[in-house]
Amino acid sequence: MAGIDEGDSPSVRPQPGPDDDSQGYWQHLIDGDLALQRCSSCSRWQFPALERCRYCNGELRYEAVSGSGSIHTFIVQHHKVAPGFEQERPYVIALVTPDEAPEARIPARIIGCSPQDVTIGARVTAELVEHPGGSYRVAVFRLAG
Amino acid sequence: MGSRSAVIVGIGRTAYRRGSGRTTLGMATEACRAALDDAGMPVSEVDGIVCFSTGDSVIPILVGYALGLDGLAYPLEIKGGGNYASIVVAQAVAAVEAGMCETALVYRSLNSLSGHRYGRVDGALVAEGHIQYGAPHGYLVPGQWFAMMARRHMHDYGSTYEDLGHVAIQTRAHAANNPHAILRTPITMDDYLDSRWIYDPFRIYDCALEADGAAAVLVTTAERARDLKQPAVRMLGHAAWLGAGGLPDQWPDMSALYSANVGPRLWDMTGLTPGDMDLACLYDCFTYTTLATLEDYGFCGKGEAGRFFADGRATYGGDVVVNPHGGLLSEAYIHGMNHHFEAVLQLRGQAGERQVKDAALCLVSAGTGPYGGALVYGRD
Repeated sequence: MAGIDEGDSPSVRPQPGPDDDSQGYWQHLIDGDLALQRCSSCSRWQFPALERCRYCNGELRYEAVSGSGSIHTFIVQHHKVAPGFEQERPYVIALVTPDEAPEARIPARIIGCSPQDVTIGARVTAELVEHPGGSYRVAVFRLAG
Repeated sequence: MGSRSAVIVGIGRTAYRRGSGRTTLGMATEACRAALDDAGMPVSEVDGIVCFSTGDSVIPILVGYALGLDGLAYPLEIKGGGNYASIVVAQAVAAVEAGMCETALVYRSLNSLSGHRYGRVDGALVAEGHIQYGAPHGYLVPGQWFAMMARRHMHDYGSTYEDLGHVAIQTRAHAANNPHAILRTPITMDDYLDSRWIYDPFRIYDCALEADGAAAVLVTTAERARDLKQPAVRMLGHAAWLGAGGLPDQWPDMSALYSANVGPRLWDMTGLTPGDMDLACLYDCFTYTTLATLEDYGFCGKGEAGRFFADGRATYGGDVVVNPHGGLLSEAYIHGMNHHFEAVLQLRGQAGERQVKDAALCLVSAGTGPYGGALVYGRD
């Protein structure tokens, strides 16, 4: 499992702190997949990660999603709330619903566009990028087409 | 035991400041003593203390100790934020009515400006729990979660930035009549629209006024209240809903708040309607919370709250006076306990220049997003 780099430079972005339920999510990203938990009994998707399915107590397995989805809602971040985003602000943070998993809303940056171009319902595509300050990867999204 | 009833008999608070230079213990103790003095009750009668806490706080047994008590029969600290600011009062009432204690203090004490800041994280952070997913993107403080909801409300119901502005402007106008409020200079729509962005759709004037202070209420039996200094105020009903596992992003309908579930239950339980309320102390950590809860509690339809404010229906001479003290936006962010102080003061007819005429019934709400509660106070 990946870990945080030594040192705590104030410009280092917040790092994920996986737990026993979520470590598969982060490991799949490191391995190159955006994958979410899915119940092997009732087939429903689960996000954020839990130990068992909250609908039927079934066993959860990680399953890769395509990375295509749509923006459920978004904000434009202007003010500093955490270190490490000095070059990005203002930037868009959205809740993205993956096409395969309408139950899930994944928070992520929308990159490669101006905030004015972002709308609710816009189609997006995932891209996995290195997360500075550690050895994690995160999913960010770009407006499709 | 079982049939006795409990009422609110005292209120207390510290000064609200941008930087207290005091401990949360010192401020909690002062607010609690003030509530006892207000009621004319000796501290020795207190055997219960209830608070909620997140970030900085102080535990009930330590406040009891600082008040000079040897111990407490009913100390309760609820882990959570402003979403518990009505539950703590309901809990004290229930504990007294059940005979688990005779007299209970309820307080919130925090240095939300000079101590724990809710709006930002400084330094290195390993984000655990539900924020682990968003924090690497700089998405990790409560205001961002609720700004997401405000955007969705704008999309679904056509609400606008100006609608949020009307809430900020009216709330500040009310604070101008409150000497205890920190921000008392009126603002215009131009001031609002020119103010700096925090996270669009929220500007600085949409956000609670981070401040330091404490507020407390005192609960005892109706029988004991007859011998005390102040007219008693009664809690006529309380309802709460803490949904979506506390995960704001997973709240099913992002254009409504917890209050969509609480409102109908509260009115059903009390047999009252929004139209019966003389005033409403609505939890207003953000302007959007006021706007959406006003709709969810049924004062107006969805998407109509901005117009409701713009038309003067949320102030003196209108339908209901919303936050006559200036709320969390302009009086101070005392995490909702200041709303209880104001409600009781108004119902006792002691609010001075900002008194709501003949105030007899008041809605007090607490929380936002997927979690919160509300109660109705009436004159006993």
